[in-house]
Amino acid sequence: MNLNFVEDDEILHRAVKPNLTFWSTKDNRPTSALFKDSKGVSVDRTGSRSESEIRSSMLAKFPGLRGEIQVLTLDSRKLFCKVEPDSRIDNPFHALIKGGENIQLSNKQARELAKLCKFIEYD
Amino acid sequence: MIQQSRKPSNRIWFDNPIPTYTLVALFVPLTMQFVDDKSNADKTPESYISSPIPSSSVNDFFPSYSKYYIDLSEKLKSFEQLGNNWNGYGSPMLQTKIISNATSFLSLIKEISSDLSVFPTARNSIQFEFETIDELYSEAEIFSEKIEIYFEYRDNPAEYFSFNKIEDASEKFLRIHESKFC
Repeated sequence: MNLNFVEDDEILHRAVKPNLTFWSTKDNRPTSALFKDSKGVSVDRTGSRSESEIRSSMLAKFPGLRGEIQVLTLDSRKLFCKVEPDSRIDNPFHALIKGGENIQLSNKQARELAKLCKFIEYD
Repeated sequence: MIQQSRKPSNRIWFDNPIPTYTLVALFVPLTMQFVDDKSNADKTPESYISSPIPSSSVNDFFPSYSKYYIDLSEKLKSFEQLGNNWNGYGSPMLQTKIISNATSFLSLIKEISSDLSVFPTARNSIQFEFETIDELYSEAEIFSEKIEIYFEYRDNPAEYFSFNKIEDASEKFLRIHESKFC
């Protein structure tokens, strides 16, 4: 895993908590609100891990997690978002999705990511 | 500073029981004027008053959007219980003022409640949104000092508006919902 750069083909993972606060049942998709964060959107990059390793890691951090949303790094960059590694002591796979010039995503970027992302439900 | 005005007094608010009861008191004698005289020739005035109000009249006092409005209001209220880090990624708890602004905003757009979803964000705001089957999408993001409205329609360029008055923002949001963009 390149610690200084998130590759285009890496998938970015973000937890969707059990109470479905971010799920639009009307439209059966995540809301763009999921991608609105004043500090940038925290995600976990795939790195060199398998799906099961990623899932175990997510469940360890978010017990009872219902599922996660996934978005491809390249798709984020096509929307002029920045995807940057933000490795932490407790999470070397942590990364941030930021708006182009601003840390926060624009409404358009958040909306497009909500449309592009996939929801993976945990069994 | 977002300005909040009092509810217009020339409108009936279903959540205020006093005008509703007044309407009921007025409605019963008014209906008597439109009753078929022949079919009710043998009825006394007292029997009109004791007759039950037709169920369709109930819907006049409890509009079809009521259930959705109540659901959204309760969801907004539940946001008061969100503490710090409610999303697991360090989100701050929502300020009371934002919830209050969102509640006021919802009261002004209640007639489209059946089409709305509402969500908290991790940037000190609450977002209302709707999407129609012909690809009109709009969101109203309620902050403590402003409301931002974003909408997109099919492949047309997205548009943004910012308001510091709840009434102006609600009017815009309703017009977008009615597909009146200007």
